Amino acid sequence: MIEWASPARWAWLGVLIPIVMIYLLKTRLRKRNVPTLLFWDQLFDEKRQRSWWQRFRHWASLLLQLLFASALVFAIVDPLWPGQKEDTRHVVIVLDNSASMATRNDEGRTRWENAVERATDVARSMRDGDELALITGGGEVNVVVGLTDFFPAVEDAIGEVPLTDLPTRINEATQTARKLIESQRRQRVIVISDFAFEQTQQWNDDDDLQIIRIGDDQDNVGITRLAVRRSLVDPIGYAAMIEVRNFSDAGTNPRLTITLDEDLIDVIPLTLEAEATWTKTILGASDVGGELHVKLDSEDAFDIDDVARTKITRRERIPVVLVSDQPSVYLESVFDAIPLIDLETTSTIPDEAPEGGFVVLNRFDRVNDATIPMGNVLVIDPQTDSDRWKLGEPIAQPIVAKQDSTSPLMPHVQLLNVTLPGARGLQIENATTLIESAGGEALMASFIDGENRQLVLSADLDNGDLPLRIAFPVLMTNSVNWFLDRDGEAMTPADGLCDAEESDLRSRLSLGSTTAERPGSQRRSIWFYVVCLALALILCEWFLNQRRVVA
Amino acid sequence: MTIVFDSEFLQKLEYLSLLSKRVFKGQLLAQRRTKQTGGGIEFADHREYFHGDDLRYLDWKVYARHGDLLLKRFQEEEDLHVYVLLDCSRSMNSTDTEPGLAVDKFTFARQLTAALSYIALADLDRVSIVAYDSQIRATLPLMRGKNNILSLLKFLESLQVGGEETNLAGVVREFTRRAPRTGLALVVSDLFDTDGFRTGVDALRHQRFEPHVIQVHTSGEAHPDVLGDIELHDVESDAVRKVTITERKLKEYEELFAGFLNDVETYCRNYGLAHTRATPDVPFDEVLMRMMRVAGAVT
Repeated sequence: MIEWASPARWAWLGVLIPIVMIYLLKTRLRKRNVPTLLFWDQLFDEKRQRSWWQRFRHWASLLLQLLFASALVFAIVDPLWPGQKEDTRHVVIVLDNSASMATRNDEGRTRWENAVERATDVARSMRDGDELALITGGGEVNVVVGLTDFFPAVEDAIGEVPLTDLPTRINEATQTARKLIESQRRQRVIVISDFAFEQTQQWNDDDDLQIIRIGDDQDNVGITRLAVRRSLVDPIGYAAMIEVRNFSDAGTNPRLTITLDEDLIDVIPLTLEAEATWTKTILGASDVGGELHVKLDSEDAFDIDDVARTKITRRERIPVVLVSDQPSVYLESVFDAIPLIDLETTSTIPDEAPEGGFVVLNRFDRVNDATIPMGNVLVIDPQTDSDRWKLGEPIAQPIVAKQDSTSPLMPHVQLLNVTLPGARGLQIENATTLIESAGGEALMASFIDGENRQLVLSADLDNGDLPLRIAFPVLMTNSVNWFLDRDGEAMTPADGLCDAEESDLRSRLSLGSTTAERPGSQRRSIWFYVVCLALALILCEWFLNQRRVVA
Repeated sequence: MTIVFDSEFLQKLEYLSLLSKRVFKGQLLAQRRTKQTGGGIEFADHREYFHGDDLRYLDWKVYARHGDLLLKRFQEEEDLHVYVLLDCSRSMNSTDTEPGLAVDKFTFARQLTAALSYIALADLDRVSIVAYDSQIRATLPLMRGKNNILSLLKFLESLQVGGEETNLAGVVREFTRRAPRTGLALVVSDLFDTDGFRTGVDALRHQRFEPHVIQVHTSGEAHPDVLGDIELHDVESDAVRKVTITERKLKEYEELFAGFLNDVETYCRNYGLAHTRATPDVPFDEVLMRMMRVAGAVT
């Protein structure tokens, strides 16, 4: 039983009425006066035996025209094959537009170009009544076109999908596709990818999943990791970690070029065995920072992972105000030696620490001095109590017996058994004791109050040998980093692919069962054949009547 | 009544007459004249001597005096009778069949008739006009002298197309029975006769008239511009034909019509008859001049 997709369009049969009317008007002959029929009689007398066709020719023409118009209306109503309505498919194309699809084959054609071509073929093979959707899985899962029966829109969308330089998300995209059509009958997900990623599911080429693999396995060498951070010790220092991997069965000798804002840092020739990984941390120093650019010179079919770049942050100058009644050679020397420090020596305590810097109070005396300034403050050899600490009695044997090695102020600082003349025990609430004497008195402590950080060291620098030890400048450098909270600085990630899974261009497709690609049914709708019939009818009518073949 | 012959037309007539006499030396109708045997005694005029003329009528005095060979013309000899048989059947009415023509076929035929008649009258020949269709409808009796041109023109203007089918043979029978003497018979017609034109023209020959066939047709009759399903109506017989005219049929028609024209020309040539074919898109005076040139070349 034939069904109709658009039964309301039967109203177009009304076009038959003007056809009949035009026919009736047209068959009224035009009259023409002639001086004589002598010659016309001679012409038409010899064809007298065809007069029966003359009589019926117009009827035949009308019949053919009516049949032609009826056939067109029949096609417009869109008749369906028996069962075609229940036979509609719901198909989702999952298209991989990740970075690995930019790989070129030997003919210079990329996997992406092939994938687009295959996806377009799928869209064109859809039958009337089917529904089609498009999802991409490069970088993020994106439903480009929802289920639609207007396939040219999907074809256009396929042509406009951009290739990304991001890792694959085909696993997630396939799950999204299944969810999109899970309630539909006759569902099918078609995954078009190079499958150069680790699948989280067993891919079965079965009734509801069709796999179209693009591209062959290819060797590749690429930068799989690049990260940089500032040195925790050196204010202007930085460390850049670079990882290069060889995804092939053969060794290779690429060259790595590192530049910082176009200034050449290093050129490293590499020797990589098959499947080898090369990792190195590059140390450098730069107060202005800039863009760290890493380029791998290797001849392979995948260029995206041969370049990576990242930013090294700029280091600003650090203002330090040294408040001391008397010149302090040791403090001035140590802060002069630390890079980026702008040291200001004064005898007046400022109300607050300079922005981005701190105040050093040498021999703070509450009786004569003002209150402790707001902000970051380093107090050395306090003479009186303050609202933050209390001083104990002078310690007879001020030897450092214990230190907190876990504190960010203490890396590379070794103060055990160091004598701190003039030291007095510190009593500070909510503070971290950094060094203690043998009697358990706190000799150095730090505390954080909101954005204010304070470090107190109870030691007479002029009478002890602490300033002469290596630990002293290291401790001061650590205190600078601590005041500026630099130990929490994270690694800066790189711009670039830097993804090992994506750089491995070899397919990791594991199939539960392998079957050949299954083409869809190519049966055309009824309307196509009806239009062909209509065309044949009108050609027949033209040939018989409009060409004036008839005598 | 439509004015067919205006002052401009009369001027052209005079010009054609002078042209005929002085340039073409009266050649248009001259050869007919030489065959006339006359016994008149009243001297009327001189005319140029042509080979074959009777030397008895040579004016020896003029010859002796001037050396010119001139024949004396006597009243009876120069009375060439010119009979114009003008077809007035309905097929001559092109206003029905081709309404867009500047000059319709019948008017054109009358113009030719008037011009030829004027030349004859100017040459002191006698002229009679016989209007016919299926039978003789009207006759202008023989007249002579240019002073009769106005009544001749008036007669022509009064003529109307009509009647039933053309019957030249029957008309000629009647005409030859009525004509007082033989002479030049100018048949001005489209020759669309179902019985054929030959019978009528043969009858004229057999009755010792000198037929001169002037065939008139329009360009549309030779090259019709009809296509498709048409109902053709014969204006003479009222017969109707429903036909479908294709490009191929048109081509066949044109070949048939060309063959018809060729038949007429061949017939006239075979019998030594003068023949002229004219269409209304060519001015009548040009047709006359062409006739004169042909007559001068032949003689």
